[in-house]
Amino acid sequence: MTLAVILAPLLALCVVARGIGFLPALGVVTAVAMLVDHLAPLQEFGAACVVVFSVLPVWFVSRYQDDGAQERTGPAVPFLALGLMVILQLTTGVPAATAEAAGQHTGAAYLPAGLCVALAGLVAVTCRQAMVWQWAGLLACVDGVMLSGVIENQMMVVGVTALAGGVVAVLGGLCVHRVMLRAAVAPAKGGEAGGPKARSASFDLGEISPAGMETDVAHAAGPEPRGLRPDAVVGPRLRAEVEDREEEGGTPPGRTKTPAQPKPTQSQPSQTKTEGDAETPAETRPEGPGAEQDDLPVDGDEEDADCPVGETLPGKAAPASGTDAEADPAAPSPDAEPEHVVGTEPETSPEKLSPEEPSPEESSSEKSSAEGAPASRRTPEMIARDVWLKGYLSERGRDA
Amino acid sequence: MTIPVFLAALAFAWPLLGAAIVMAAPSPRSRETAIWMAGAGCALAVAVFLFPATGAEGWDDDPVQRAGRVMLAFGLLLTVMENGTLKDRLLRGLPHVSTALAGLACVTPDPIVGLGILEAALAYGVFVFSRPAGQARAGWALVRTGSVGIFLVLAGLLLPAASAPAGLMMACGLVMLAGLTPFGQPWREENDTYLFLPFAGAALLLSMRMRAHGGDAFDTALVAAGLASVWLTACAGRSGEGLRLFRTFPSALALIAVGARADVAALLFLCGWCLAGGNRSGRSWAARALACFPPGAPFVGCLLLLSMLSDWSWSVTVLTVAGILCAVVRAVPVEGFTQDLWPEDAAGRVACSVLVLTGFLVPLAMMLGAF
Repeated sequence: MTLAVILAPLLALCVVARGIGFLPALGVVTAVAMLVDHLAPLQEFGAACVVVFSVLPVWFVSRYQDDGAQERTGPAVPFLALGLMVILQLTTGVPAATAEAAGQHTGAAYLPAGLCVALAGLVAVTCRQAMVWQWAGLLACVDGVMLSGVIENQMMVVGVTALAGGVVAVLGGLCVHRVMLRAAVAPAKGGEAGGPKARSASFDLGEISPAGMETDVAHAAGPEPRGLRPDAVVGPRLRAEVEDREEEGGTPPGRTKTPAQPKPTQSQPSQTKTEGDAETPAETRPEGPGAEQDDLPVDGDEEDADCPVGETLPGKAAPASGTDAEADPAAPSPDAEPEHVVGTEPETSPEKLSPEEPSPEESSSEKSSAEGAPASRRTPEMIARDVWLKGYLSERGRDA
Repeated sequence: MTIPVFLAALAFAWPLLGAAIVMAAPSPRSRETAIWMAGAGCALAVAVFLFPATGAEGWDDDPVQRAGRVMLAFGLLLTVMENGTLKDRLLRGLPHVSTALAGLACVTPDPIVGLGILEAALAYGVFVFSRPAGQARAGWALVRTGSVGIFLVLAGLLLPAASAPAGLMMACGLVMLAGLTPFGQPWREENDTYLFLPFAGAALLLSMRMRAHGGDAFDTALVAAGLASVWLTACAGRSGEGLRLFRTFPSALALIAVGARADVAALLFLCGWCLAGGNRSGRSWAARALACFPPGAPFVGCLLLLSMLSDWSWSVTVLTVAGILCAVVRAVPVEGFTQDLWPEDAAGRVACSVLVLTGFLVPLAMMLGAF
């Protein structure tokens, strides 16, 4: 029995307790446990599959925001997995001394490490509610069954597990792509690399670093948005919605508010409107999330409903706030925060709504055409975008 | 290559060929083409049952498995007869593909390979289902539950044969794969029937082949799960949830039959599942068949099951009979089963005919020594 075999169930417990972040470690340890025991094509194939199925999904999911907010299960889940492992060990495991005395097979099979890992994964799939967590549980199952199959030299089991792992990885990735929001990806200033590194190295996938947000602001006058593609319209809106919800419920550690964004919208609404109509179509979209929250589900389960959201490009997301931030360089005072909430979320927080706060122009820019926006200001692209957006949001509503 | 081997190979490839033709056909003619292809598949399955490829190495020779594939073929025929003209090509071909993969999963020499084929069928079906907007979560639920079932069975197969953990794990996995309420898949909507009917049928047929590895714990766990589902259906009443539970009533009885080693009874319940289960359970003729009313395959299967169960355990027999009676009494419509004795649609007539014929022919074949 190797140290890797002993470590694998512990890491599987960590996956159950903490999430997908421990999956690469589990995969590497499982692969080591396979290769240390014996070096043969079956072991090499199993180790390669395990590493691929453990590392690639984590890398893929790191490009998306966390959906752990909907997790409501208690802290007892890892203990359930541990209890099942102990039961499995008691019913199947044979003490080493007894086994050697009886002349039975020796080695790593005494501890059914692979099945313990698989059990932990099954517990995660069954008990956890977040989709990524369930995905991690299924991939842990793949690791465990693969390890057990390799230890037992069951070629068919290894092959079928590889197929099942591929199915789980691909379909899970597709589902993640459709139901989760992309993490903010912002090219850094001064030639610093952007991309997925823009987010924190921790596994709080929804993290938006302050540097990234500053970069967004700095790129306010940057490149034009790529066009009125659906993801260009909805991505920034959904991100703003998530941020506003966090502002309502307190900002969790790791999330950064965008203080410069709401203030100019209120202080200079006419400028925002004019520039938005003339230059960047992304600016002309309804700024606040309130307009879309009429249609969006509000509870946690439906927060990440089916949404093929494109990445939040700085050229699309930032221009409105960034341009206005430059136009109004005064730092946003803490007092301005509730005003922003009032001004931008008239539907979601009616108790905070005061009738004199939002100006008619601002409300007309936030609402869709049905709420009285001047027809002369609406370009055909805007009308097409609104029609598409209504249809899209109704699709989201259907996911409930 | 002898003719039976050629027939057997053609029977497995035929649904895939049918799927290709149906997907390639223009939409107005696709339904007619699908019916013809499924009908030919039924004829091939019957031919394979009558002329088994006994001499060929690697081909399955179990008559119950062959008869089960006949049921799957008739289930496909009924599905395509009930459907209207579908515009989505992938959805149009899905019942053919899933039936082909389910039949292939049942005939593989190693049940582990059959599980892999079932996973492939699940992946394809989920891919087709979850393509439209708003279906990603439902697709993920199907992948999750099906994969959990397959991993449970694989884990059980890796444990020592005939041990209690192995039997329990395999039984739990097969129960999930068979979609037994409340343990199984969250199947919903009629589109799931395209995948679910052959998938669950193949899981039932595979469970008969895994009995050797599972041991007594496997049998006991299957009977317990089936009893739990039967009693849950009996307690659910006439509400919508109760009728939804009634959809998998023949699956529960089939799993009890597998646990009681009554394979022919399980085959008859499988016939009821393929022809009257799933979303068809709301119709009067289907509800009557599912409720084991005579004449019909489930009724004969119920008699066979009770005769075998009485040898296995009297207490379980009493519990099963009481559960079946309670479920039937609660599932009977208020107006009774007197209406719609002979269905008006062609699909219903075919289903009723096959159910009645199977109910007569299977005991006859059993007496003649075919099973």
